[in-house]
Amino acid sequence: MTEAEEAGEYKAYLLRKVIFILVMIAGVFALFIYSLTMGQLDLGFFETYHYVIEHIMGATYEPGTRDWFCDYLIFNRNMPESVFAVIAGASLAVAGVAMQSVMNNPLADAYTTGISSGACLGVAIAMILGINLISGDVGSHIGILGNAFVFSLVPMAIILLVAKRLDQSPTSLILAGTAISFFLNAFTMAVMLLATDQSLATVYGWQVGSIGGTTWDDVPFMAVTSVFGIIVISLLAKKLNVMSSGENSAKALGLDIEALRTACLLIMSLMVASVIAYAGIIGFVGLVCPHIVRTIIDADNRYVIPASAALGALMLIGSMVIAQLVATPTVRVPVGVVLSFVGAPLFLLLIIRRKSHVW
Amino acid sequence: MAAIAIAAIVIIAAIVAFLPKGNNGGGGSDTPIGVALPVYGNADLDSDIDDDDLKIIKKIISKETGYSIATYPFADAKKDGIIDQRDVDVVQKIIKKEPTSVYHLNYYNDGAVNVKTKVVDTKWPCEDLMVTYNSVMFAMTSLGLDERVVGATAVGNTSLDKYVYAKMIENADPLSYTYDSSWNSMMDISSVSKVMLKHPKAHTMFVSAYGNYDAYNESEIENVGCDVVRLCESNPTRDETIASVLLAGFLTNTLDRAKELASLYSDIWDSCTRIASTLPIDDKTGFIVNVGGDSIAGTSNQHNYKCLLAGGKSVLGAASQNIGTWILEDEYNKNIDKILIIVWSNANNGFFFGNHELNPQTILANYVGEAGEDTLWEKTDAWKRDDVYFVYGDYPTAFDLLLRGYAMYPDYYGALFDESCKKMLSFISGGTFEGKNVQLIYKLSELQSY
Repeated sequence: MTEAEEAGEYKAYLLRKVIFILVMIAGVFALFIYSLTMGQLDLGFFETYHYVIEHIMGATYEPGTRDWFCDYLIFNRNMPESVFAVIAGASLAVAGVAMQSVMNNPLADAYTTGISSGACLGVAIAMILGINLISGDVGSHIGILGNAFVFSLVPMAIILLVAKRLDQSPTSLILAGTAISFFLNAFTMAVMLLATDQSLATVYGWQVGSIGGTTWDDVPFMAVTSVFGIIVISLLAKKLNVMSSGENSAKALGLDIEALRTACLLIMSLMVASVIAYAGIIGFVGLVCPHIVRTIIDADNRYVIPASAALGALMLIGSMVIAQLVATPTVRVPVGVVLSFVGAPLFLLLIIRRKSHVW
Repeated sequence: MAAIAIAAIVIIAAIVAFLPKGNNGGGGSDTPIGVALPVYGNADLDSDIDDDDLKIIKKIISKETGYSIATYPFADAKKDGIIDQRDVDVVQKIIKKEPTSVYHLNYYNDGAVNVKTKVVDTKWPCEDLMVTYNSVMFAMTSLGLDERVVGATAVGNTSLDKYVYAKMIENADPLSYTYDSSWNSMMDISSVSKVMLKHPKAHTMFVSAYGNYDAYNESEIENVGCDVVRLCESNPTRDETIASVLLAGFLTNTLDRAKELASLYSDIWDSCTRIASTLPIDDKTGFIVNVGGDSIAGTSNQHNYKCLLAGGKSVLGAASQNIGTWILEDEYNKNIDKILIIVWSNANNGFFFGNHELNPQTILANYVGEAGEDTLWEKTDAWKRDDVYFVYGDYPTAFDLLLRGYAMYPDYYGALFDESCKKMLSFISGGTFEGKNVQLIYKLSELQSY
């Protein structure tokens, strides 16, 4: 093969990655547009976007009229849920990429590092024991959010403290995370022994994951944390690539592995915690998306990160749309249920068809 | 002289016998049931808003001695901290039955026995209604409001008690709900909006006092112009549950019927607690109730607490359907005289009258194993003795005491039970139960042979 042919092939190879990312983004965009039309008022596409344009132009309507309800539902119910789904999905997927890269382990995600378990324990303590780190009212939403966020950081703090005594290898860190996860789950189970049926339902519900009822108030903190985290991890993409070549190679190339690992784990914990605090445990996105992306565009983190972000957003908003489509007249299905139905077979398929060289 | 004296005594006694009694539940400004209508403007804290309240408000405005907002806090109909002509205007509108906005208490219950209140305003009167939760639906049915309920959460639910809620199921559009990450039940705003657009007079939603578990997104519901009224209908506290009945009646312009109903509830409650207090301590029935999941006996579990109020002796707080082997330890097994299985139509543990008929199979399926497979419940001594009682749970809290008390002490509660059930059935709109032999408590053997 001549140099020119090689260059051409390489360009095609890069183009494939870029096209994949653009297709994912287009999918997110399409689903976002569609999601705004959903709900029980049966708004069509053109009617929905008539209201969107009118709203942007500053139109107001008399309260109680159909126009008013349509405008309200689009901008205060559908849009915050969709925006949350897009950002949260991207955040979880990128955190998954970072986690798998620094741990050098394809199973690394919020579960195996104990972050989800920590959040669950925080919720259980808030709901059942009534101990809130932020709010004093038992069962208050702020109290639950605060506990979920703070307690989700505890496993990472323990891992980082323990890491100093370990050999800091990825295997040791995953094992430590798993042990902490089991430990925190045991605490949660113990607390749940004291629960009433309703608080048990709350703790259980947290483990399912839902973005139902999301309002604009729920978006800013999660969005800022997630966007910041995605940007930082994107900037570290090259270093993550180096880490993927192995610890010895990375050290030989002058990379401070411990510092990078610590920084990534902290950022990633914040990203995941900010999503878990509002939506509960959303499974599979952080685990499955990086694997799907690597299967299609290989393992260069400079492309895997944005591609995973787009795919994660697509996966979560897609699940949200499916959840609304399968809703009965009396109940909307939480998005976590749909993700489990979709994510598990998808993951199995990936395992069966995986390319060994990408992991 | 003696004859005249005797005649005078007889005449006086006759007059006294026909004077309005404290528990009549009739109209007027007295509060026979001892609970006030929790609406601002009800200055004298009786069971309605009338000219007596207007007089008090005017006396406060004219600064008469002994009359002030401090001594009559509920005179502040506008809830702005000042008693003035605007409060008079509100009360006058209420008396003339003209539309206005009223301030009242909303009740919030934590699922145990604790109740908090919050003052909210609601457009009055409430014409078309939306409701959530079976016990709130029950309140609406008892007040004869079935046909005014245009939206309800459970009407698409096949488990709903079709004896009691038949008309509501027929007339109302379904309201859907979703769950947030904390599994709080939130109303789906788009379905609320749909109902409100279809029924322009539907601007009030009556929900339960379980603030975290029913219509949790209260502020969002209010943002679309729908007032949320929280009723304390199944909490094991007397005054709040009775006040809720009065509140519902006032808001829906069915106050006279609400007073009758409230009077019935207070009679039942007071009678039950009186019976419970006279039970010989040595004869107390050791019970366990199937719901609540709280292993601590006492008031932290409302289901356990209601049985305590009815005179039972708690062996353990409660047990879910999936009980542990601890139930077979002597400490519990030998002390359980009766097992009470509460069954209600919105929930988790069986359908009493789901399809117009009792559903023994679905009720028993939660507690009895598949053919050839024992469950732990079946291994308890109480189960083997047939001392298991399946108790209807949709009725309001006063009846919870009555039914559970009757299950535990049929001899003590028998007369009260027969009389009260008949009265309650007469309140169910449309005579749905008329002519039917409705049984509200079944022994295990009765269910198994049904």
